[in-house]
Amino acid sequence: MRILERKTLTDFLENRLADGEIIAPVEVEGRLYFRQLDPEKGLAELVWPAADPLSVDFTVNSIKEFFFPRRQELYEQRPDGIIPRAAPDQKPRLVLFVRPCDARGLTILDRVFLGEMEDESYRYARQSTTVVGLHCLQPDRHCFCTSLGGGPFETEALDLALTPLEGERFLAQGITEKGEAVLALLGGKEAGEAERKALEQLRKSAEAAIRRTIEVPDPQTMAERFDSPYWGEVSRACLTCGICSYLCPTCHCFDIVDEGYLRVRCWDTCSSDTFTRMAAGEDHRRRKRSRYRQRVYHKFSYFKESFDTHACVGCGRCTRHCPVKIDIVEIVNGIATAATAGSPATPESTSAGAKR
Amino acid sequence: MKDSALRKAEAIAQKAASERQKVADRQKASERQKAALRKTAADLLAQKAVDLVIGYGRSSGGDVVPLFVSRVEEAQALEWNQHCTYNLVCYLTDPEVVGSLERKEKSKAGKAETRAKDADKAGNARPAAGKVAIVVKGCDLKSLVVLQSENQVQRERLTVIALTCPGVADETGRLLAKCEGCPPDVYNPRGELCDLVVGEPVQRPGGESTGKQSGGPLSDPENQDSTYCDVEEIDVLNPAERRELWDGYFARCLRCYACRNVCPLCYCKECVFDQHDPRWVSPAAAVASNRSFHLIRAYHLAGRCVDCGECERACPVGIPLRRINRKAARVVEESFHFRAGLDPEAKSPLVAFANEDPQEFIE
Amino acid sequence: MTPVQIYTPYAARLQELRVETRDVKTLRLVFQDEKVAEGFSFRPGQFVELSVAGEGEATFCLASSPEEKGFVECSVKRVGLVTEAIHRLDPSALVGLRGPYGNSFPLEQMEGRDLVFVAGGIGLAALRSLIKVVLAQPQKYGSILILYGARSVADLVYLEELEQWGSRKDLKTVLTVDPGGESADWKGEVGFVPAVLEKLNPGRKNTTVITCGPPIMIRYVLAALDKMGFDPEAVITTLEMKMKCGLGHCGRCNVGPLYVCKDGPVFTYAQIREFVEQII
Repeated sequence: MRILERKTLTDFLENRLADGEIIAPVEVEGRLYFRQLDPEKGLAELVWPAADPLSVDFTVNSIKEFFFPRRQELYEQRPDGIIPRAAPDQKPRLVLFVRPCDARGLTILDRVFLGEMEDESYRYARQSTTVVGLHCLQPDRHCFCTSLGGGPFETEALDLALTPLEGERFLAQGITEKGEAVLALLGGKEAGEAERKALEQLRKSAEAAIRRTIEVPDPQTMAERFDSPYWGEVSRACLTCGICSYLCPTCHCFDIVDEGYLRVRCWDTCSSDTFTRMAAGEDHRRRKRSRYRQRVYHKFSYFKESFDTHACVGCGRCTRHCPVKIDIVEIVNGIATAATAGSPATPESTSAGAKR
Repeated sequence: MKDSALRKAEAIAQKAASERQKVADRQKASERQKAALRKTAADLLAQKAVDLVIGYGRSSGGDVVPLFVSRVEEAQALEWNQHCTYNLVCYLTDPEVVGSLERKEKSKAGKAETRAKDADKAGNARPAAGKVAIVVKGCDLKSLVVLQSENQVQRERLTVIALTCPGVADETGRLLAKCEGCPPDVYNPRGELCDLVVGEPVQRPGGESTGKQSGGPLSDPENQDSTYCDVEEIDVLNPAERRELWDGYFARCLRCYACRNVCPLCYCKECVFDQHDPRWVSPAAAVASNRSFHLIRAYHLAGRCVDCGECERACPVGIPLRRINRKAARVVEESFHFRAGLDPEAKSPLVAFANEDPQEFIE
Repeated sequence: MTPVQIYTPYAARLQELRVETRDVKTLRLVFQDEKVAEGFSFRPGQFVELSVAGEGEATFCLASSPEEKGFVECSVKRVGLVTEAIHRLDPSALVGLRGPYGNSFPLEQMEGRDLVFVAGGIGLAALRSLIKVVLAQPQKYGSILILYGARSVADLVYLEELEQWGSRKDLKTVLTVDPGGESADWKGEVGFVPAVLEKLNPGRKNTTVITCGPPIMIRYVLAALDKMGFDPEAVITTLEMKMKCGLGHCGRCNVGPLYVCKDGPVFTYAQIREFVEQII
């Protein structure tokens, strides 16, 4: 573990920016986004994490789009043949100040895209990227990473982990070989007992600051409530837009469409009312309640059956940015006490509020 | 010298005290209004005048959420505070929330009722197309007026509960931009457009001085909407600059369709952007197709949009969508002297055709 | 970024576009690249994604036998954008073909057992590959019954094959059309497929049933088989679902914990029993 002065980090990043790419939090009109830094602007746009624990600065987007792009050209299919897209050169890439929840999201995408059928562009993106994480000093009221196997000071999928200290300094830990190599380049002072203690203290207070806990019921409980009127109640306010899916670090559903002769892959959401519609009109998730239920079951039941983890990292973006603040923690926590199918149906219009 | 300093200090202290008093008064008025709202909803349900009340509630996470109340005791969960920003009118065209309120011919209305009684495969009843009460602010009410003019709601099945409104705020407590310049007859809703007004008339700072009544004749210069400066800021740019500005925003767009889905006036059962046979615009999030989406939607809203501001509020990447729709609204205002959302009998000029419509473009 | 190779199709030339019914055609495709043609192999039950330039992709099960070298066949019912484009293809047009994807019929487990094929409409296409493989080596299996029905005589597909199968002594073929769908000289059964199945009352001992057809037919066939006491492990079907990637990434065909493209499209009734009502 090393202590880095901000200047050390700045110098290193400027060097990297010269012949590589850096993706980091940037402010645009009052909101933070992960964006590729413009080499011509240097580090001017980069938003440094505040050491002030009261400052909360979450990016709107996760880093998902840099491994699984919003729109990706696959190939051209012309009447006279198939023309694959030429591969542009991928410069070495650094993603900076990634929170542990977003990083953990990558491990969930790995299970999908690096499985039996490997998505080469995803693998290539993962291999050419160094993930430099930022420990979370102050989670906000929507965060719930700790109840899903994550935490504000976790290091899963990070190459290098940075912890902000006072005086614009950072603690730096190499997590992987890639990260150790970067740390060697950075240099810095070897951390001592005082710093280790400080780290522990910061970790404890950050974990304590997480106010919400999600309690995912066991598969049996979930199965028994699949036909519950509960799903109609909790999905009522949903607008079936794509915000939760598109901002989620783990959601990965996509569509393949033709733009002229160009075949393109683009993000899609199971919330959409056309998602499961077939050519002749058949649709087994015609109703909003079925689609919202699908979202919950896919993330908190089905995915784990295949991949030994829930498809959620507890970053809270879905609730934070939902236009009507649909609260997935509240909904999942309410499943266990929901009426099972076949019990006397509560009137269709029972408000979810009554249960609180 | 000392005297005037003393007087100054006194004046400041007095001003602070009177401000505190005003805040305390507003708080109390707000509490009374909330209590009145809850009582109104409870009474309507108890008397079976309505089957469902759509209003605001609070999630266990502490956020304001839409609330759907069907039992008398649940009416106590209704909320009303400065964070009640949502326009709940969008739920009136969601058949899964209210059944179908669409005005159809008599023969079809019967069918709609029957379908509503069907249960889904699990035995859960579909929402009954019964009677609905909805809580609206003055801005929300305008969008309901447009729905009426387009036959999307059977008004007789609605009980419209309008609230007097001191303005709503974002999460930091800052007044939303759309609330600035809101005219008095909107924040104190007019009785003829709703069934019940809940809350005492509100006094907004500067409200009197805007002077304009949104219900007055638009040919009257006094009634011109003087708050189009956000549109004018862009009007002064040349086309290349405008293109650069908007493409910058459209590059951020995720095509989440939150703006469309939250809009009370985007109610097409099959949206043109969801059609795939043919597919008019690529659903992929890229500047060109995003541009098409936003401009086409703006055209579909021209002369209909009431600037409730929900699209912009819902946008996760901060695209200034109100400006697009307000630009269209201003052109409609100048060309047709029409403002949407004021008269349930009046059809939007781009929806209806009249011989007197301006046609300077025809030589 | 590197292009995503797994989504890039092979080019295949249309050798024949055979009319089966008013809305079903069978394509015979030959891979343009000889190496691909030689190396392409599949198991009965698997599917491919066919694509037409500028129109899109759609999922079709391979209807030819894997033992028929040099070409593959798919049968396409005209229901939407892509299938319409396929029906209008020029002779020797180039299409895209991706695959084979999905699992396959458990041939080994079927050996030594009596087999009952129950198909409706274009559902026969999904079973044709399997039937051809079985009929190439009938001695491996017990008795074979093919029950096939369609809405009307005009909707029956694979007329040539039906005739061939009907004239064979080592299997029983029963054809049926829905009431009202018979022609004046119709000699087959008249009745819905599930009803005819119950009438035929095939024995359930050491028997595997393989069924495919319109969702509503599958639903009633499964119910009938349940009633007749068939072991759900011995009842096999192949499901249709909206798909895009075909290989377990895009999430579209996810139903319950299964992906129809990856864990299916071939399923036993036992596997899908819990949520079959959602999709049929």
